[in-house]
Amino acid sequence: MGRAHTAAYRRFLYAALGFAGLLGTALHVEALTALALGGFALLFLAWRQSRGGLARLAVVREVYPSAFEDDAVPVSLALDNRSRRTAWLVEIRDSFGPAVADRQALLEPGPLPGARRRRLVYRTACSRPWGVYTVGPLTLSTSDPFGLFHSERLLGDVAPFAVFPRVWPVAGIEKLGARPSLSPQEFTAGRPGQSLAYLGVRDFRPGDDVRRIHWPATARRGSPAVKEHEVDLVPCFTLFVDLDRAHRAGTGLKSTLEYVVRTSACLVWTAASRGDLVQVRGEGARSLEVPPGAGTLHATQALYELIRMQQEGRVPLLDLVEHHRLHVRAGSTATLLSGTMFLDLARLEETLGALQSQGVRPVVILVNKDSFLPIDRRAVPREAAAAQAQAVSTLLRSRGVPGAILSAEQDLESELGRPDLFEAAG
Amino acid sequence: MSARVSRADGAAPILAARSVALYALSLHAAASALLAWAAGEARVLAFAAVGLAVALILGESLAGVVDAGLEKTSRLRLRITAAAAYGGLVVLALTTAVGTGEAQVLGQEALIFTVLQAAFLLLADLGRTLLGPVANALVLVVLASLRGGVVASAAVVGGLALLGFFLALDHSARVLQAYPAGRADLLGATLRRAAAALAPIVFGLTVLFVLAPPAPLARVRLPAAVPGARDEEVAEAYRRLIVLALAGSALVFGAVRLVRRDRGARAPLDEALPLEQGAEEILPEPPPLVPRTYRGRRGRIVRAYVDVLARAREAGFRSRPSETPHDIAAHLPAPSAPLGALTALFVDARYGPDEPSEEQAVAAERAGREVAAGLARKNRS
Repeated sequence: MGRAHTAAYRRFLYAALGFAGLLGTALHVEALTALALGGFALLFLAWRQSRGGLARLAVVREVYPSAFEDDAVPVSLALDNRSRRTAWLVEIRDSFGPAVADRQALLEPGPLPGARRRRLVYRTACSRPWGVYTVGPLTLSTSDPFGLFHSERLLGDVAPFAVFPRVWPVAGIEKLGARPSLSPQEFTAGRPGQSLAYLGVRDFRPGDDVRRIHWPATARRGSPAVKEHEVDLVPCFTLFVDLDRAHRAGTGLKSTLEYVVRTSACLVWTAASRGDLVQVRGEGARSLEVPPGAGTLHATQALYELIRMQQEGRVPLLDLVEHHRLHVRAGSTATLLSGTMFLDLARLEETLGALQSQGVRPVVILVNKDSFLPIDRRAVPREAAAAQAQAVSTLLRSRGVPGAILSAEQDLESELGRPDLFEAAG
Repeated sequence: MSARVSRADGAAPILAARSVALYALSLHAAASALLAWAAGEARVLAFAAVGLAVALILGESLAGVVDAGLEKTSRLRLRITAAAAYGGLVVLALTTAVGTGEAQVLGQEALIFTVLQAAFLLLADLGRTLLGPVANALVLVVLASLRGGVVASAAVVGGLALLGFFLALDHSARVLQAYPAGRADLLGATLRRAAAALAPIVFGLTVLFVLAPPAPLARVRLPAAVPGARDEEVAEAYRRLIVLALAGSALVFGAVRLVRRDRGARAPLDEALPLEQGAEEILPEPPPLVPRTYRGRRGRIVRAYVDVLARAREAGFRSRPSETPHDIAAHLPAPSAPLGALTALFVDARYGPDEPSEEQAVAAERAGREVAAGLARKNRS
């Protein structure tokens, strides 16, 4: 903190006391010499105390390593005083990358007695857009009681921190395979299994668990009867992401990368929230592979992979789907997220047919890259883009495939939240 | 930004106490110079006490108003010009005083610098620091020192003590002001810490002056009509001064608590955040540094390595239990050559089958000392 510390007094004392000492010696004025000696003794004591103040202080940061955009993040610091002396006015500086300010400055005014640890918490916000940032380093500083000498120590506590894009529920995919169930994270089929969903009652067979005996039916029939439950079905959601470098367009918040990443994040989070097994595939400069998994932790891992991806690949989306198609389970939903509308329609139809034939329900989301500011190639004329959109819509409708086209002029949050999102193109 | 300091703010009493310390330092220095060279009549001292108090209160009230309309560069230019002019005046005044040796000239200079002290207090908030009044107070102490005797002794001892208290309070106030208002109650602690640090200096100077009272400047020619104040008169003057200082301090403390304004400027890239304090824990005792099972040369090498780790922990370095000695060496901020040698010797001694040689043990201890010295250098810097 610039205003908190100043070397002006120290420099002035050096000059003034030196001058007084010289004057006292030259004129044989003992009081002036004593003034200089006393002043320098004060400076020496202050220097000694500032050196010792930091020697046995340490601070460690504890923070959960990820958050969503605009989230408030509590950062916990453990300040240890391993000396025998009480610590006062300890300043701690941290650098929380996702925050707007470069540094976060904190003051522990004290007293912090010797051999004690104090846990401190500061709250900041992830004000910067999604990405991987760093947190740290931490800096500890103290001064002598007179503020003449300032000591500072840099602690190399630098750690990565992931900021995920803000996710909005995609209203449209709730209709895709979602069914009510007793348990919100389990889906069932009407044949005997282990689900909590109740199927019926049958006669007791040797080996049945006595805890499953249905006593009212047993009393009515006069012979043991057991409850029977439905079999569990776990819904599965697969996302194929187009990371072809040819589909880059726009800058900042209005870019195809932004739309692809945010849409992917929203789809993954929505599917994971309703209990789906989620997997993600993409081919950028490096492969994007999130194996099937469920739960918040898995969704977090998927988001972490998504924010690190770049549109640097050379594998077309339909090739990617073809390559991984056989790993998509029957009865699941597969979403194809393309960075352009200009897919080869014949191949798209072939791919959709292949997915449907293996019992997979395809969904197609197209980002209209020509609606964004062109970067390295010209945008397709409006008429041609409209014709392609019409052709894609006709194809999807003819195959009964839900689909949507996202453009730069649309607000992504409201668009993804629209209940009829997949009815626009499909 | 101009905001009144909140009453709940821990900095508010320290700001008021800082003003009192500055007032006391100013009054003490001015009174010492006036007592030394201008007879120090009661009405002069009273006038000085009231004038300095009024100037300080007005200066605090006008904080942030005096420099309104001045840009940062203009303020800096103004400060540099004023500092150069003031420095020239001080050199001229001291040269004239010492050169002429006339008590009357010194008396006039004491009066001029007393008036300047009031002016500095009035414009105290024009700069980033309160260096102006502090510098002028030291000039007044220097003038008083030339008189020798009790006045010079009291000027030097009191001046240094009050300067120390002012610096301590100014430091605490600056640090607290740079952060969001908290409930820190540091006034008592700041005064105690300053008193503890100043006590040996004040005691030493007092003993020195009792044993060897300071002589006046040899070439000063005192007029025959004014042979110098007698000890009883000096004691009476100091009693009056203490009463005036107490009254003035109370007035300054109360007024500053009421009228003080805080500009609160801070670097735009820094975010000063409020801190939530959690529970305080007693730190566990560190485990014994050296296992007793390592004896002989193997033990010496292990001890050298473990000592280095202990010093690194003291310097704030943290290693995880999962890290190998080579991982630790890669992250430890210490000279790489001796650290690498020590790590290799330690790994051989700790995990190898052969008993190390005497040369290896000596080399490990030497490398340990070099690494420890490197860590200490890092720690200091």
